[in-house]
Amino acid sequence: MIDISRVTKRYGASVAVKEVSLTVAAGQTMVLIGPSGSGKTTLLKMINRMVDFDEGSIRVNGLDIAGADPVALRRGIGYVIQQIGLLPHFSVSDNISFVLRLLGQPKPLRDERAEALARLVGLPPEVLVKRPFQLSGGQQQRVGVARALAADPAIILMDEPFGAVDPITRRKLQDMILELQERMRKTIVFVTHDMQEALTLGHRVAVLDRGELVWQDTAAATAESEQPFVRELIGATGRCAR
Amino acid sequence: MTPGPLQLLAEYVGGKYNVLLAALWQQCQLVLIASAVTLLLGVGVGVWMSRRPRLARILLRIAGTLYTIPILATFALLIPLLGIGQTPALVALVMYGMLPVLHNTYAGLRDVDPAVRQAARGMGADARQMLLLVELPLALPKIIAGVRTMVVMNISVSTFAVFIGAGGLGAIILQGIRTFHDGMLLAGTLLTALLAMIAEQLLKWLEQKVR
Ligand SMILES: Nc1ncnc2c1ncn2[C@@H]1O[C@H](COP(=O)(O)OP(=O)(O)O)[C@@H](O)[C@H]1O
Ligand SMILES: [Mg+2]
Repeated sequence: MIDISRVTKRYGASVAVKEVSLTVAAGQTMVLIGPSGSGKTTLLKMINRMVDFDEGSIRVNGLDIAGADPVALRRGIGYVIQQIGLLPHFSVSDNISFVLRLLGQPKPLRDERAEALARLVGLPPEVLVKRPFQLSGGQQQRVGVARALAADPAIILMDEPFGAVDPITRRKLQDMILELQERMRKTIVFVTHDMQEALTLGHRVAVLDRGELVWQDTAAATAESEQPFVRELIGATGRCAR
Repeated sequence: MTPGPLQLLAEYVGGKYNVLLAALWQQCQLVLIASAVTLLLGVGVGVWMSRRPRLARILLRIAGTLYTIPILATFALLIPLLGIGQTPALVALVMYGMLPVLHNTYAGLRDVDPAVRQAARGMGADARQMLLLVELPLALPKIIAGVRTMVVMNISVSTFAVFIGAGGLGAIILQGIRTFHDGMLLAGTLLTALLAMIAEQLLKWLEQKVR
C-alpha cells in the first residue's frame, strides 16, 4: 500500500507537485494522468525517493520513506521508464536479473529467475543470451517489465512505459500488464497521458493538472465523469484514437 | 664497397644484442611504470571530476596546457626540482600523458545514456555499483582508446628521456647519431617503432574486444 499525504515539491519558485494526497490500495493499479508538465513523473519519483519532497509524507507498506535508506527502498520497488534504459553491455538475462545482482545473489539463481521471468512476460527463451539492441522495441519493454519483477516487489512504478511504441505493440503490452495483474496483484502506479490506456489498465484513475490533484475515482466513474478537465482528457484521447 | 644499411644493422644487432636488449628493457620499464601511473591517476581523477563538471573544465585545460609544452622544455624545467635520471623522466611522461586518459575517461562517463543511469539508480544501484557495473563498463572503450594514445606517445616520447640521463633506446639512437653509426641508429629507431606498433595493435584489439 502507498499512502501519499499532502506532498509538495518545489523547484525554485515553481511548484511541481502541490499538496497531493493519494492512497493506492494493495494489489491495485492506480493510473496517474495529466498533460505534460503536470507533475506525474515528479510524484512517481517521490515514491522511491528519486526525488525528495519539501512537505508532506509518504508511507510505503506502513513505512515512512523519509526515514528509509533510499537504496534499500528502491531495491524493493519495481521501476519501469519510457526510455527503458536497458544496460547495453549486459545480456537480456543479466538485464532481467540486475536487481538480484545488486542484492548480491549468486549467478545460477539469477539465471534461473531471469528464465522464469522471460516466460512470464512472453519473451521466447532464445532472447536471454542476446544483447538488448538485438530486440524489437516491444520486446525491450517486456525486458523492462520483467526486470521490475525480478526481486518480486509488492510495488511497481511505471512512467509512461508504453509511450514510445506503435499502437499495436502497445495493445499487446497493455494486455500483458492486465494478465500479470490478474495473476500477481501488484500495487502499481502507472503514469500515462493516454486516457484510453488509463481506463484500460487502472482500477482507479488520478488526474493531475499543474501539480494539483483535480480528480480521482474508479476507472468506471472516471469514464462517466462530468468534470470538465477529465472530459477534456477523454475527448483528447478520443480524437486521437482511430 | 661500403656496406648497406641492412648489413650495418645486422652487424650491430649481431655484435651488441646484449647492449640493445638492456636498453630495450630500460625503455620498457620507463614506459610501463609511466603508463601504469598515468592510467591509475588519469582514470581516478577522471572519475572524480566527472562528478564535478565545472572543476573538470579547469582540470582539462590544465592537462591540455601541459600537453602543449615541448617535452624537452619539460625536462629542462624539472632538472632543478628533481635532478636527472629516471624520476624526472617519469614525472615528465606522466604530465604529458595525462590529457588523453583524463579527457577520454571524463568523456566516456559523461556520455553514458542518462536513461541507463536513471534506470539503474531507480532499481537501487548504490554509488559503487553504479560506477563499477554501469558507468565504467560503458565508458571502457573510450578509456582504452585514451590509454592507447597515451602508451604509444610514451613509447616515442620516452626516447627523449636520454637527455636527462634516463637511458633506454634513446641512448642507442643518440649515440648512433653522434658516432655516425647507421647500424646503431637504425637498431634503436626500428625497435622503438616496433614497440609502438605492438602496443598500438594490442590496445586496439582490447578496445574492440570490450566494445
Ligand atoms: N529537475 C527539475 N528541475 C526543475 N524543474 C523541474 C525538474 N523536474 C521537473 N521540473 C518541473 O516540474 C514540473 C512537473 O514535471 P514532471 O513531473 O516531469 O511532469 P510530467 O511527468 O507530468 O510531464 C514541470 O513544470 C517541470 O518543468
Ligand atoms: Mg513525465
